[in-house]
Amino acid sequence: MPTFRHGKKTAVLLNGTDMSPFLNEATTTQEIETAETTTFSDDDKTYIVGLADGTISTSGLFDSTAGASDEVLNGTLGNEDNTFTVLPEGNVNGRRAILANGQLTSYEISSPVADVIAISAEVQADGGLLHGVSLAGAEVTSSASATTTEVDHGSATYSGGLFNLHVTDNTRDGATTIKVQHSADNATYADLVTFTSVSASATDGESITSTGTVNRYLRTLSTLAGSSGSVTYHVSAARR
Amino acid sequence: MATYKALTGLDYAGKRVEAGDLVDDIPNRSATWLLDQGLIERVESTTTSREPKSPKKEA
Repeated sequence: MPTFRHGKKTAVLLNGTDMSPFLNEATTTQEIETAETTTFSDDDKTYIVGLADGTISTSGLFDSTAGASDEVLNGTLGNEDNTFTVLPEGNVNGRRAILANGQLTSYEISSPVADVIAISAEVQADGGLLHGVSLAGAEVTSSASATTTEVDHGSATYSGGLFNLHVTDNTRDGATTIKVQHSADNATYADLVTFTSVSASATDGESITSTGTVNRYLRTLSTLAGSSGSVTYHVSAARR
Repeated sequence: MATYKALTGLDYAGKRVEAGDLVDDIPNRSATWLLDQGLIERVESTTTSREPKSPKKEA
């Protein structure tokens, strides 16, 4: 029985900002080059696969207030190492996440005489557009060190992965450290990647790649310094 | 019970250990894959042996 989902729950995260309130369309595109290997005596063209590539296209509504769509997208143009995560099934633990680290290649503002001001933006993935899963379901507001519910991949993989963190809201009065942990048995968890410590009250996004084994189970661990306030973050993981 | 040195941060049985910590309560089923993946290493028990005293020389 197929399981279809409506697009209304789609979430788009960019460098620690939840862009979902400003956007109404997100399209991710994966492409793989093919190189022709046709030779004499072949009746049909033949190909082998080559390099993969990926882009993200988004569109939505213009908002010039602080921290809103215009400031975030305009401020991202020209920057390297931007963290993009698209959650087409919504921000739910274990559901599909599409991850990229890359560059914003265009930002367009459209002002029609008889309609709301619209925006659109294009992202070029730098190092691959990867399909993974959301690890921190509904964005977790932690007031103490905590782990998220594990996500079971069914088996280990052995070629590393890409891990995206977005800290979208932060009122904590101390630094926050967020790690991705993996386990082969869901009993003992080992640190797999550690994101850069996020300062008190700061929001941020970061992409980290790992190499080697990624065990069957994944979860996040957040450790908060300070004594009050909370942190809202989202982590997604894509295995290679 | 075997003693291991954690080579990365670990969480198990409600406790947290950091890289470099010595632990002797890692669940057996976990120790196998942690060793295989180089995330812990076994710490050999150290035994001290005494050299037999050499006989005193006559002055």
